[in-house]
Amino acid sequence: MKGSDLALVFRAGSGILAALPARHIVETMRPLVCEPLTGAPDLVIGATVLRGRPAPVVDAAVLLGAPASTPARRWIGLDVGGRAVALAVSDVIGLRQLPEAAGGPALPPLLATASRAAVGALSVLDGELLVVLAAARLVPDDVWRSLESAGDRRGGARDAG
Amino acid sequence: MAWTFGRKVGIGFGLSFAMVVLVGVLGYRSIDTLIANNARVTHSHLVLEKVATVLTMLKDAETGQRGFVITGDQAYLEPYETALTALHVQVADLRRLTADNARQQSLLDEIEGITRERITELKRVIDARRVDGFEAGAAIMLAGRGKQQMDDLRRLTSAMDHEERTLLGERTTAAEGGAGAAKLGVGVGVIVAVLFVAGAGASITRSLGSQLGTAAASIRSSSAELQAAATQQASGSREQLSATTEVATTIRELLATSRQITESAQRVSRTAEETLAGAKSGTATVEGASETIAAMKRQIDLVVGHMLELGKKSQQAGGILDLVNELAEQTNILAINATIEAAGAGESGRRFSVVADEIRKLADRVGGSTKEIRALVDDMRAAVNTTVMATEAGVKTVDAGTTRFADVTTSFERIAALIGTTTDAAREIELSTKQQVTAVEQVSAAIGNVAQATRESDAGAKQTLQAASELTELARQLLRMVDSAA
Repeated sequence: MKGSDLALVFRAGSGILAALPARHIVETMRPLVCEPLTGAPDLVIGATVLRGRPAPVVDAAVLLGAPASTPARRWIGLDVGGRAVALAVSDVIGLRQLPEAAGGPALPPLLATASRAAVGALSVLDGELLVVLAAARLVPDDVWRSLESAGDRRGGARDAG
Repeated sequence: MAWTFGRKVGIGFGLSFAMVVLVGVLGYRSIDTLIANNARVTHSHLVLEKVATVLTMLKDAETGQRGFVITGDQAYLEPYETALTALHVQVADLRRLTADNARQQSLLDEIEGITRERITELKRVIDARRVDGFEAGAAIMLAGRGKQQMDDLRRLTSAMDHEERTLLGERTTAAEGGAGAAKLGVGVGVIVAVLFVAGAGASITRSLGSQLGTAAASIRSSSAELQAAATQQASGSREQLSATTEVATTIRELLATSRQITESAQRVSRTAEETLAGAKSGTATVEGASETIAAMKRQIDLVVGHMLELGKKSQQAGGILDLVNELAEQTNILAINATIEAAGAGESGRRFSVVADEIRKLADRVGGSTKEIRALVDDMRAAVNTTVMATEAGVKTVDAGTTRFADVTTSFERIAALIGTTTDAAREIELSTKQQVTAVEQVSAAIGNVAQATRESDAGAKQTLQAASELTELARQLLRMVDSAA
């Protein structure tokens, strides 16, 4: 098994099966304290601290356009380009060796409302559709910017304090 | 003024009686006067007799003295001796008889003095004859005042005799006058009484005839009314007899009914007693059932306790399951993280990745098992809750049943009390009915007496009717008699 093909399979919302490449996965955990982030889009629940680093918390169900009827029971800690991201999912299934990705931008109707930038590929796992997310595009850039600006304000305030 | 018959008869007889009494009084007074006059006449005759006796006794004494002087025989002195003893008695009688006549008393004083002198003279002659012989006695006689004394005595006695005979004549005349007046008074009184009685009798007879006629007519009218009343009474008595017979029949039926009621009351009493025994048995049974239900309730309470304890245990098991589930989830997370780390470690972490995946699977199985156990525990808790609720419902039902049984017991007790009351009432009814039977028998006897009295009344009414008829006939005869008398 190649590490690049290994992905962490999880469920978002009420049952959408999704996966993230294992190289971005830091850990899975129970939901931590989350502070709401002003001006952030709906898919960003708020911000938290992962291993001493600020991280936006992204709701996978909102990200994939699924109704957020089930509260997130797990967070998946990601390391995306040196930035920490927390993805709130309903359940973590485990590491799986993904088959060849179907690819293509044509998303099925169920995922019509999903953020197109976040979907890396589509696949099938045990006869069920599997959405393979692109970890680098989970968080929009403006969110990063606002998060960084907030971090700067917080750091400035701390320095001033 | 209308006088009654009795008053008229009373007044008539009263006046007749008064007339008889008047005539009787007149006759009595006349006879009394006549007797008094006769007594005076007899008195005069007695005085005359006493005067003559005194003179005669002196004459006899002188005669005896002369015989003794002549003969010297003592036997001739007997008249003299008699005169010596009886003469003063005769004089005394004569004085008593003429005590109311002063003239006669004066003459008697003289007669008594001369008599005393004469007796003394005679005694002196006799003594001389007895002592000195005939000559001495004769001499004294010759020399004495014997003849003068005797002449005085004759004159005095003649005077008394004359005086008394004058009185006798007056008294005889008075007696004759009194007898004539009595004869006249009695005769006139008798004639007046006879005339008065005859007049009163005629008046009473006439008045009596009129009143008797009126009374007879009234009696005839009254007897006719009495006859009608007796007829009605007889009819009423027959109706009363018939009614009494019906009443007697009804009372016999009432008596039979009362006896039937008595028997029914006795049966009711027996039935009530049996029912009372049954109610008591039912009460005992219900009490036993109530005790059984109470025991059942205790058992159910015990079961509820156990169930609640089981619920608590299952809750504790749920807590443990939560802990196990938490551990499983934590294990799952750790296993996944270990898998991720193993994958990051490359080829060296591959075996570790397999172990971690097995641990994750085991954790998943534990999680699945905990879910199943959770479901089972939840089902068990639900079942326990359902059982507890059902048991509580059962307890409530048992409580309701206990209450019902208490109500049933109370009802049985009330039934027993009511049956006791019913028994008492039945006994009272029985007693009352027996008393009623006795009373009805007494009434029956009384009705029998009434029937007998009614029969006697019927007979009496018939007798009254017959008596009224006879009274009518009697009134008719009396009226005929009065009419014929008038």
